[in-house]
Amino acid sequence: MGILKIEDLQVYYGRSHALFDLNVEVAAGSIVVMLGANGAGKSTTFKTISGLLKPKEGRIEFLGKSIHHLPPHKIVKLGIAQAPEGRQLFLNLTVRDNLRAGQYDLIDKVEMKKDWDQVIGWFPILGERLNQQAGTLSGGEQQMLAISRAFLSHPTLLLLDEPSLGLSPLLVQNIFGIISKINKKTGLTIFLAEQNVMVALSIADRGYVLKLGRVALEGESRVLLESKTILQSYLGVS
Amino acid sequence: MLIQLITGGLAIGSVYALIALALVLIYKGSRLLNLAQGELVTIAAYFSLAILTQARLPYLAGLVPAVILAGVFALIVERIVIRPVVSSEEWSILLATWGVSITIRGLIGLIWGHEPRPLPSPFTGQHLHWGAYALSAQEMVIIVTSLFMLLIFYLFFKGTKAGLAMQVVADNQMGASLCGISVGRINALTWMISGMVAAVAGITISPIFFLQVEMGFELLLSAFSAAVLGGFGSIVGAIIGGYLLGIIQAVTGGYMPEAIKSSVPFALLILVLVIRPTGLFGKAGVEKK
Repeated sequence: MGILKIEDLQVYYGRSHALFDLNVEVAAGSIVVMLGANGAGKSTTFKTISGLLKPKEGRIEFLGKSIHHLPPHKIVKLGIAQAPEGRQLFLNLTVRDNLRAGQYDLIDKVEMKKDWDQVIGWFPILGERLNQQAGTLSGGEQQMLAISRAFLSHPTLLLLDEPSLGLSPLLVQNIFGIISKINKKTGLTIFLAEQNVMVALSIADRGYVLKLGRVALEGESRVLLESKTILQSYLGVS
Repeated sequence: MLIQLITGGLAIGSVYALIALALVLIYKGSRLLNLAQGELVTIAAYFSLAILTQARLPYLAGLVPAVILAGVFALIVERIVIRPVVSSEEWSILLATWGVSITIRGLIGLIWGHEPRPLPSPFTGQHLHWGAYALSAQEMVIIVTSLFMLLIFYLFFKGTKAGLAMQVVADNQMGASLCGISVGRINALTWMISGMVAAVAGITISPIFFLQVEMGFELLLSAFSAAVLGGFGSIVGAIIGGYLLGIIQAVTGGYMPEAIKSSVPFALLILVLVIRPTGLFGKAGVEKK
């Protein structure tokens, strides 16, 4: 059962046509990855899902409800959280306040505490740096903070835009391991955008390959992994 | 004599601090310099005049409804004038606030006339005796009420969810929306708070300075200098800048020709921009659009 359905989406940046006839489905409880080179349209897709961009045509449905015309804060309330391109952290605020901001909409204190403890358990370094300004964190720590902040809004669908960007291979393995763990332990549906093909496909159930704003290839990650040469031709030099 | 200069300076400094705070809050939240901020001070003072003369309430009791009314008024201005143009170019929004300023001044002149009016206060002419000194009671009221207002603001800003939302929106609007915060609603709240903070300044200073249509403009310029002195964009800086400017102005006025006094904010502004443009607490940096 698809909890997120993107149908025939057309998105423009001003007069520039960025996404063409996009059709994507994300099944509940799965990890789906959108692969593509820089400029392929991954972030554009994610921004549109979260309401930061509006499509010219097409629809986006979440849990059966049409969301593409809604403002971003309402989409968060419906259950979609995103760790976006550029992280968009509150750099002048403390780590603690960044995390508290993620929980802004929630009222169930018991659930909030449980989520908080879980997040600190996955990323203990954040627990150590709670009183530090977010801007002083390293790249990897900021990425962990961005993912944590998104997770803390207790979403039904978590969007991660290039979680591996700028991180060392070791940190990438670390974070992807945690992403996979989050999905297995909590059943949270995760949709990620990635340039790092191998790591992403190693944890994903399904993948879409985006090239110049169109879906060029899609399928189960197992199948995609086997056709490495085809993948490379779509993604350029990977 | 110096003690009276300092209390006078702290009093006008309190007014500058509050208005500078109001300016910086709106600036941090939406990168907008509110040219109508002075008029929000003026309209609040006239609201309190209306309440005190019509409702026959005592001065301090009349303060509260006037502050609330001023907050609602600022909220209405934000919704009607600012929100529709929020995605326009910065210059357009700036001009919109200037339009608000002109409109409010026109309305005040129409309703209350252009004659300067005193705001009746039981503290006018009264003095508090502290040792050998006689301190103006109204100035004490200004200082105490302003400190109280700043305290309430601090508790709100640091202690409530809405306060956190304001900090968050000021830091990164995109990040804020992705946390489920309605940036539009927070901007409206910020205007309301700015209106209320400015109101306290206007209502407390009016018994001394007299109400007139143009009173807001000079206060705006002085508050702007105070905010720049503190490092435009820093809340703490705006408040400290306000008090500092007030004291500097009062003390120079005491030892130099009276006429120099009104040029102090501008002289200070030029000095700050030449010597240390980031002010006392500001941060140097390049802003990415």
